[in-house]
Amino acid sequence: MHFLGQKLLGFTLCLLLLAVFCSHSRGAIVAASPTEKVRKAIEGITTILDEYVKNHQKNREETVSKIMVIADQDFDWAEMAKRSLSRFWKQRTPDEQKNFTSLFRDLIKNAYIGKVEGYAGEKVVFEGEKVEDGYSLVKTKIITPSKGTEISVYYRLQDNGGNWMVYDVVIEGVSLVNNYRDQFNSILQGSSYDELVKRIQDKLAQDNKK
Amino acid sequence: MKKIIIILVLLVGVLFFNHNSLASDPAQGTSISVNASEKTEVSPIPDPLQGMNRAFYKFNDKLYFWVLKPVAQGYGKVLPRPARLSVQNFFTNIYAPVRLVNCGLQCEFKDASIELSRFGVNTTIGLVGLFDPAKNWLHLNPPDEEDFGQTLGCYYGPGFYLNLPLAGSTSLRDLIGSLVDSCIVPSFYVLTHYPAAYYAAGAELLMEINRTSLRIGEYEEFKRAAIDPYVAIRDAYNQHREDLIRK
Repeated sequence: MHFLGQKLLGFTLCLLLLAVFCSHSRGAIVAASPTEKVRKAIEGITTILDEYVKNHQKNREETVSKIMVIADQDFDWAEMAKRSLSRFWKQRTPDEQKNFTSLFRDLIKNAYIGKVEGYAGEKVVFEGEKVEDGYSLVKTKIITPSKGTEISVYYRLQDNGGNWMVYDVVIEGVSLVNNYRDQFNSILQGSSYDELVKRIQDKLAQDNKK
Repeated sequence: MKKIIIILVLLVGVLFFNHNSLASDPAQGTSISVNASEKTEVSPIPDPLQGMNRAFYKFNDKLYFWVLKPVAQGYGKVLPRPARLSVQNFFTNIYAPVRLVNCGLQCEFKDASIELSRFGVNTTIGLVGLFDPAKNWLHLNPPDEEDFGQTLGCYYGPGFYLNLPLAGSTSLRDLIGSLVDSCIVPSFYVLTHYPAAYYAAGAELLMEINRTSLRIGEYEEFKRAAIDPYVAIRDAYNQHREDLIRK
């Protein structure tokens, strides 16, 4: 249990992190830099979350769907799903790929974005970016003054024809996509793709019951 | 004694659970596209003792929900948050020698000097480490925490994954590392003198309960996000450790 304390902290806050990097790009500025994109996203989400706190945490469903609208603009769900299936992705038909992408999106939505209650006025500090060959890494730190914690969060973005989209979030060194990939791989090697899909569906059904 | 048991368990595990090897799949962990931002891709940790590890993971999981969490919640009701943060500071300060030695071994002399200054300031002005004036007044922020597992990590891979009762996630390398580190913490010397062993065990227990009380809900959230929590924790542990070693 030692490990669970410190290291899972990042994951707990992941809901914010995920929530936090969805962009609020209204003005369609030409080729905003990756950092700009992430910054705008964070501002957009923080506004929604602040409003949610002001309303005494009412309109939960509405808040989540507002965040998801923004998330859909900046998350490359297909790329995330593809990377999480790694070499098994190519073995799927286009329909299966589409279906899996939507499952993956719901998984992230339920697991992280749906946990808006966890928001505690976190602050985000930008610590630089790296851009190379159409990929970029935006380094941030999430500070929770009430808890006295600091968590490093890196966003991995990909240039989709002039539009930077997030395809992975790395919290304290733990890549979200790699973490799901390890889980998916383990199920795919033990059984089948159908079994994996079933387990994700069961999980989503269970989440929705609560 | 505790360590001997751990090592015995390990050996038994190696003998009986060897058939479960995940390492047999060389294609595992290859990323779809290799690009600049993914040079640091971590390959999955081998898990030849998966049968044993999963059993211990289940045990630890039940232990958390049935014992540790209720106890920590009760403790949290008695002791207000600032007091618990102070208790945490105290234990963090006690472990400064471990971090200091390992900073030195990894030739991170700047961090070593920060650890040393922090230890000096917090032990004295910070009232045996209960407070953190080094950070709050002198802006000496704690550097990345070093341990012997990370020192070994400069030369060796993790070996294989282990999930041990009470201790939770570790690897062969990190287990050896924590055994070495335990010789540096003061509790080791206390442990070797019989009557004081109870105090040392009590201190260890307090540390764990205190830490848990400050982090209630985190494990639950992590589990909620996972399809297979055991694999999720194994991978998160491995990625996090490799990240610490790179730093």
